[in-house]
Amino acid sequence: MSPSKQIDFLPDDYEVTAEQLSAIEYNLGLSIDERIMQLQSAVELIEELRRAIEEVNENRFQDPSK
Amino acid sequence: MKTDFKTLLSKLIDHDFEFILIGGFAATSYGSNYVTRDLDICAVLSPANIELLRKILADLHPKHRLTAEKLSFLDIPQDLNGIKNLYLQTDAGLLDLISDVIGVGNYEAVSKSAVEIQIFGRKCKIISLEDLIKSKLTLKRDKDLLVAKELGVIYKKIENE
Repeated sequence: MSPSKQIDFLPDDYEVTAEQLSAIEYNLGLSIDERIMQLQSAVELIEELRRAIEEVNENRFQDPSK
Repeated sequence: MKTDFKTLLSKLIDHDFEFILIGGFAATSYGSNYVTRDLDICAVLSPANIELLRKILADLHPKHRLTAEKLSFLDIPQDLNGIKNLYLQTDAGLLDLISDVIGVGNYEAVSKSAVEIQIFGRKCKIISLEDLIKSKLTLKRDKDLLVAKELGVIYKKIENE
């Protein structure tokens, strides 16, 4: 896929590292279904992690004397 | 290729690979809106740990993402000394291993204030919100500064609760 138009408003310097570029390259190599699965998988892990963090926060604010 | 971050993370935990969850997943865990697509962890990249990592990831066909030929992590590098970072792609998703978190320090330094959580019935460490903000502010990349601002708001909100 190549851009249909030349655009002149892009900055000359990008703050993109080699590891970010390789991740973009990897993502572009995935099919739409694989991209959806990738996002679903990320969301599922985030849900687990959020729950775990909330448990820690709840325990932190509990009165240990009770 | 089916991305499965839960499998990737639980494999590391189940095999007692010592690491601290950092980066995007840590940020979204604390409430950031930026959804990440790779698993970033901080670990001591000693020869013994890299050997262990090879065993853990073997069936996920880990490859060096930054190499044009996508060289296998199971074979390369042969000299396991002095490795600072590893950027891998596996059948279960992208996995980045960092030995030093910019703005915070090495595994030991990050570990000092890391938060211990329970996930998949096992213990896992996650970088503290404060260290995550510090790291993002030190990195100073556009994306990191946006996440740092969000995390700063979250930090103040928690502090005021």
